Amino acid sequence: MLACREVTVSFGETIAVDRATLEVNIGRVGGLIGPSGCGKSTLLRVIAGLQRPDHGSITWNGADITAAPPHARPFGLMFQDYALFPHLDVAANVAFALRFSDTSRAEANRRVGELLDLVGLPGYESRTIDGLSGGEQQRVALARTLAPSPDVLMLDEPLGALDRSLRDDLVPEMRRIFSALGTTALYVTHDHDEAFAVADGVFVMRDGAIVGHGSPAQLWERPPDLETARFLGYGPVVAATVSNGRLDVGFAVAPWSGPAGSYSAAMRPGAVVIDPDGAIDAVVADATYTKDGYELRLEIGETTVAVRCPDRLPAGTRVRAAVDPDHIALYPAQPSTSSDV
Amino acid sequence: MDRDRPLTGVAGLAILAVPALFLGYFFLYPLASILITGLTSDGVPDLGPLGEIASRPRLLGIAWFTLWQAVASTLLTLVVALPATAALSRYEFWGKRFVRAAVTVPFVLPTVVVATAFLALLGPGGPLGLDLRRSIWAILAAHVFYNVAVVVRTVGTAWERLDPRLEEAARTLGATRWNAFRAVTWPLLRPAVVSATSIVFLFTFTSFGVVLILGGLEYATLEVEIWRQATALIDLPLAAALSLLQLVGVTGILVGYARYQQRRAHELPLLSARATARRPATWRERGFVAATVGGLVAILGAPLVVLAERSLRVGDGHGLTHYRALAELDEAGAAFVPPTTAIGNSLWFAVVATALALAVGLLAAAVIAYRGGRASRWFDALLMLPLGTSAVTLGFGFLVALDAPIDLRTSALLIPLAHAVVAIPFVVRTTVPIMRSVRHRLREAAAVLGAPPRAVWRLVDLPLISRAALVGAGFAFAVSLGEFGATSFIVRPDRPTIPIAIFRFLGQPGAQNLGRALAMSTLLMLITAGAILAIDRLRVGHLGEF
Repeated sequence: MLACREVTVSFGETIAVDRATLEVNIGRVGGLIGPSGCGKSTLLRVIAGLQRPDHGSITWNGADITAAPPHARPFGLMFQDYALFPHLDVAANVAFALRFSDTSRAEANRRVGELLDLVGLPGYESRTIDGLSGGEQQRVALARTLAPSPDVLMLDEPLGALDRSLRDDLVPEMRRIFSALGTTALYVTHDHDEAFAVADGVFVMRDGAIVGHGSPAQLWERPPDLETARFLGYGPVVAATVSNGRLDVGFAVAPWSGPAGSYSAAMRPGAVVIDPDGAIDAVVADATYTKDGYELRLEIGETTVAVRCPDRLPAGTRVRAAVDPDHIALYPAQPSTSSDV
Repeated sequence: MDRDRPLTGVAGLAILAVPALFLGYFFLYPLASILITGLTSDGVPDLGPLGEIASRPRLLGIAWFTLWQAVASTLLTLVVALPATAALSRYEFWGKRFVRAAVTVPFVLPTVVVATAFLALLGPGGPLGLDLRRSIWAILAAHVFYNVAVVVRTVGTAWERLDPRLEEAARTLGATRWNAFRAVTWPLLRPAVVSATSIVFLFTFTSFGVVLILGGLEYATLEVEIWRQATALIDLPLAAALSLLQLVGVTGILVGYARYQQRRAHELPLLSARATARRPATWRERGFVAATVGGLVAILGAPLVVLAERSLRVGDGHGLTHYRALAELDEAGAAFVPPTTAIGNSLWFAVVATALALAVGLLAAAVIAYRGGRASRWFDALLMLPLGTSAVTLGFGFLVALDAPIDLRTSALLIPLAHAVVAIPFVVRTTVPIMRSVRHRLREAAAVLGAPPRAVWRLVDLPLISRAALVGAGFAFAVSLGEFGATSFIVRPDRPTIPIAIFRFLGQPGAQNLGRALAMSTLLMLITAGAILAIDRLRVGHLGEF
């Protein structure tokens, strides 16, 4: 098991990583998500040995490796912009790590061929790095990281530099490679969809601290806090009350089992649905075409929510809608910001 | 009309003609005259002088010494400069900006000043209690002092733009610190190191002032011997033959370097301009930075501090006696004019030389930057030649050639003309990259914003180019003030420059003459250092090659 305990890193006055604790079991893929600049990459660098933590420890299968130099750790790190060696060809890049183990030349060549097959670039051995496309560079970087068969594979925004369609293709590809190798991995990204698609368990990081973790389904259905809910794509957030087994979100009421009190209700897509029998009176503000159907923005009193609809309803159309409480998460009520003025 | 190549056609040819004629008459023609003097006698081919070199063990010894001292100086310079370059490129620390600017100062200091400073440091009465005058060690030390800047600037620029994650990637792939350096950093830096090494080798191979002053009669480079044969022994054919030998060596270095550059042209290192330096984190790193940068500052600072201190030393105390003596006409006849006159001469020559170098250099730069094509590449190479050619060869060429068709040998313009030839490459190298960089994007951006071509030139090109031109002018001024090799051939006894006056004082016995040499060297050092620090403030980013 890979474990970080209470890892803290500060640069001068700035605390980049704040008592971060996470664990990834052998053979599992851990996701680490959070907005840009939250300290994800710094935590990866600490695990890789490129950055000394001020406090805390890194253990691998129970052995403390906090002070071990990077080359002595059985981990591989794939860098954000790949950091491929421009003076070496594809084969030499992939075989780089094998130079520092007692691998024969023939064995190294065989391994390079095998890895290039795995990442879908057979025959690319003598290509130069300059001549590769972004997606090809990404695959070479992955092959290079896999070459020494690291016990743990760490990937820092591995698809971040690629355009959307390529990313959509490569996500299942990465998943396939991980399960083919049965490798332990820690996958860092700011894109929660990507992390949910690839990882078995996901850690959420914000302002240097790990603020929650769980399986993709757990996190999506019940984000650990309101900020995380917003980060994952929940919205809008409205003031709500629970009493007598009913949830009141201001413009609608739905059955709810939970303690009574005042809450902030975070709604994810599907919380409001168009329903001719619904109790909510809404007006279409605008409609945006998405791949299959339309996304309508509905105005319900002061609140605007997005709903999916197969038809393009013109702006100004009045529709009836209903609330689905399974798509709402409640958090302790936040003090209203407007009352501070 | 092609906007990116505005200097084609008749106007382009006219602009090309000025620098071409200038360099043809004041550079190629003198060199050709040496060739003729060395290889003919009375108009008939005569290889006698060349044969004479081969048959005289002393001359062969000088050629051998020239070569090995250049190799030793270059290697020593790399050993001293590379660790400090690593510290300056990879780490952020207090005073780094100052150290980077200060490192450049020795490079532009006049050779005579450097030699005098080492005389003060390593000669009798120096703080080390040694007398290394007339020893190889003083020569090597001065060469290292001089050329450290070349390595720090050339290799440092490449190193700090080298993405540190490449080395980190190597580390996570199992490479130790040393292996990562060997397998990734070093191969990527090699072009810059080769480039710096060739420049340092060229400079030390053609070293004149340092060897002449510190080497005494025991040590001489080809450069010193050419001067001695031509001026002291008046054996012009032999001096010309030695110049030929020298030219062959220099050309060999330049051709080898050009070949190397061509071969690596397709291998573009991935450079990122991101800030790559960080504060040293461990005690080991702090120790490394302190030792290398501290050592560099000590090596570069000691001779200059000792020079300034000794120029103020009078008897057992300190005072301005030597500086006051500069205004007096020396009775002993060491100089034919008061030293203050030499200072006036130098400043006047420097102004004229700077104006000439700017006028010719800017036209040449415009041709190279805007014209493009094969001819302009050749022109570019031709313009670099004066940088590689030894100053002594140039001065000797002036002496041999410039009596006909126009006799310039007694003209007051002769010295500024020679200085301008030496300074033109500096003007060209500082302005061409800027001219090229404003060519595309900025100009398009301005045009899209609605500026007509003439306004684009005035609002975008001109301000950037004038700053680069000012930097070039600063270099030209400093080069002219310190020029010694060519000047020593063509100077008239009654119109000495500062370096010539210093050299004359050093050649005279007595504490008073040494004191004056020290005082004048200190003044020259201050003027040059001031010019260089001013240039550093004007620099546009990292563009420009010095």
